[in-house]
Amino acid sequence: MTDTVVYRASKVITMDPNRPEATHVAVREGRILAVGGDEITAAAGIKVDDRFARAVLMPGFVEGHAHMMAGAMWRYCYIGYQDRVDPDGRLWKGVGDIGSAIATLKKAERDLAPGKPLVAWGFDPIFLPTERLNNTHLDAVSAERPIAVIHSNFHLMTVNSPALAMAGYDRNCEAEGVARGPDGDPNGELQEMAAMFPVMRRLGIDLRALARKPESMRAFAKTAMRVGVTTSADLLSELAEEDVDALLGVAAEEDFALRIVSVLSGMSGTPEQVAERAAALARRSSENLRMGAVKIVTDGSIQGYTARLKWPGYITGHPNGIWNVPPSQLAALVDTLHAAGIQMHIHVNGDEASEVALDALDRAIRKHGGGDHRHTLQHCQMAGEDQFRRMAALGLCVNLFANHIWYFGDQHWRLTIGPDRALRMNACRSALYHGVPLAIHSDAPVTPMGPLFTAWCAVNRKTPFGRTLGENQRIGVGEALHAITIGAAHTLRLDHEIGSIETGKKADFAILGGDPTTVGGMALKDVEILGTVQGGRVFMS
Amino acid sequence: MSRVRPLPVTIVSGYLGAGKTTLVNRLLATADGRRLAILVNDFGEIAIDEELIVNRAGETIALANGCICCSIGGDLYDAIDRILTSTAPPDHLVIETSGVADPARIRQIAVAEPELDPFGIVTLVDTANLRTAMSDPTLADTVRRQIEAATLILLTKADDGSEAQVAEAAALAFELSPDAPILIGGRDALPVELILAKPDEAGAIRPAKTVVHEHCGHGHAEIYRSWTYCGPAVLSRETLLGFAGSPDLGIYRLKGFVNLPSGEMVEVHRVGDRIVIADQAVASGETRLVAIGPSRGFSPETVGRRWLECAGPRPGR
Repeated sequence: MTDTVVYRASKVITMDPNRPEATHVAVREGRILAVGGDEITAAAGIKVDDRFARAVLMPGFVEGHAHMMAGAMWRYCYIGYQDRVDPDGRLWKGVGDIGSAIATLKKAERDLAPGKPLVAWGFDPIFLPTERLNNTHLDAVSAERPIAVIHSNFHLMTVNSPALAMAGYDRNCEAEGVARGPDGDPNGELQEMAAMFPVMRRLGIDLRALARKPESMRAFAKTAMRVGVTTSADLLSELAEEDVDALLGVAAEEDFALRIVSVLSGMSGTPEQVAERAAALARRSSENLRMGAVKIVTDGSIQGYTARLKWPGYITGHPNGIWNVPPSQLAALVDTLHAAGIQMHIHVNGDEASEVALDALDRAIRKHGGGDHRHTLQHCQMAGEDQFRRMAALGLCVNLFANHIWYFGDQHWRLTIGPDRALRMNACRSALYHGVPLAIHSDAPVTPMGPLFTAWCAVNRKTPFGRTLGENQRIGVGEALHAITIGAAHTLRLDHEIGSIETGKKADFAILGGDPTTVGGMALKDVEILGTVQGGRVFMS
Repeated sequence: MSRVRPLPVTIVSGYLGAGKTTLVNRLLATADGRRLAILVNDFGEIAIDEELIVNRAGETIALANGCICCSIGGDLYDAIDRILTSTAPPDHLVIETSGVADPARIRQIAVAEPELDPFGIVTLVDTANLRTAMSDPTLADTVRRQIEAATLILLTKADDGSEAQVAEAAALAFELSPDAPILIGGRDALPVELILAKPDEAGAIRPAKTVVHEHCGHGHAEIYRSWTYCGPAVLSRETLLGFAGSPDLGIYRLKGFVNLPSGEMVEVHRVGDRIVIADQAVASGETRLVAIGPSRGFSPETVGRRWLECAGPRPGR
């Protein structure tokens, strides 16, 4: 006889329209045997497990767009603005000024073996009122040991004088991304990868290699568990054969608490090769490692001025962004993959990129027919009403970057696309109005993973400067909770297995200290997360 | 991991179908003793002559002539790092960019990394399809940026289009990048000497050569000329910069070692309009220089006259 457990909770929010609320859920063999009230215990004749009696259960949250690198970063010292808890449960206090950043770095420096570089991450000058961090500040931490502070957006880095010297950066350096102080000497700030690369390779910082390590994958799963996530996309992977074996091994470990949807890079070969590999990977999928979908990156980022925008472009007069894939090649790739029945996640930030992706999808769907393709536009931050109408007509899904409103909204208002287009960024309301299946995401590690925070962003659309960035695009709490559960599951083609608490689905729950449906929209992000149940296994944070 | 001398990097740019792969293959075939490493985009077909290949290992193909060809794979930086840390570093690195890359951005990698030395951007322009690309609002700025960034422009597929199209492409290239030499593929020979550095070329200049100009074979008209000097000249840094940077001499590349009045020797290096004068030259001995330019606009005699004006008839001035 297989073990059956019945959990009683103060409330079970099911996201199942047939029974939105319950108090009991029975679990057998990692799946949901029954959902309801007291009656299911009587029917099963089993003792009730009361450990969640005062908690609220929701379907395990689904992060539709993150990267395994989010786990890797914890190997380095965190000096972000927000308080964060690392995978092992240690609290890292946020830094509110340069002084406390330096203090945190000094502490980390003392614990480091001699000769090792000090690397920190998560730093975000936008939240700090003081002068910009420079090499002199970091030289106060150590004038001998090289130090690199990776900014939260991964496009900038501030380093100390020994690190500048290692890269040969002095006043004669011609590189555009090496920022200078008033005296003409490099001030330690390095902008964009070309300028960061010489320091990174000399300090042995290889984030891509780090992200592929088994310990990073385990850290990623633990991080996800602490924010209630039981399934997360790893949205861009080379999935080299030797890596797949390792990933499958880690995903099968007894204490591995996450279902990972690892998505193959569409740039890893010819369209035919990509289609073949995606199909082969799908066959190797396991319970906690799902493969078979393909990611295509069309443009860059809006805050980096590399997103492709329609007229009138950037308000600063920056030239239009850069394509990662030529529009005609995108069309060829989309055609081949769609014909092969392979699901695509297409990164589109600017509205010209979403337009070109829509054109390509339109042609492929017209040619080969539609079906339940679940192609999803990822980020899709600038889409207008016209594009949402097209998404609806083509049966596309959208995964909007709600966290961006908080983390970059003020910047977009002032520096990139201006108030009018910033107000409609990540237009969750438009997506729902037009009937486009909606998910919302963090893009961790670009912003921290935390679906309740992501939902809070979509509900309130607040910025650090106190703006409400697009009152008319706010959505309700219920709609936001839908987007972080069954909505995201839909975009990952897993809504038949996860995303709601229904008989037959995986026993994946987020265990909450409060009720997100009653705390009020502004308190959504503060609901405590106690842990998860993933595939029937309990993980407490 | 520091190299003794930075690795010269040439960037090959151009929209889809402009002939980048053809150029890459021709560079591999005419490497002329240089050990090239070529990074290619693996999106699409790379057709390397099978008989040239001696080994395939993962993302790297080794050729019989000592060159290697590597797929960029997921990340250009990883690929560059692999080249820089390889046990047998090449003489020259060629990066074939994707059809939509901004070569000026990629060049910044070579500007920033001390182990790399930017050696120019060759932009290929498909004359037959240029007008189509320029009238597509999603592409025009990309193609424009590629031409603007070029230090050398190669008009390709001239025989597929009309003379008017070739003239139109040349006019646009000139407008966007007035300093870059413009060559017509299929008519002008492949100017390998402009695209790739010769290992230790300045060191190889012999005293017997004073002013010469060399011809390029292949049965084509002469497409570039060179001027060399080897002698006792001593120049101030300013005078040297004035000569090397002359905008009117048609110099595309210049390289050499020059004695300063202080007794120091410096290394001077120019590709396109970028000039670097580096202290701590590893060489010693007489001043020696080589300058190369496309035969349209470059005259060794004129360069020689200017040199005499700058260096003076007697040493020590």
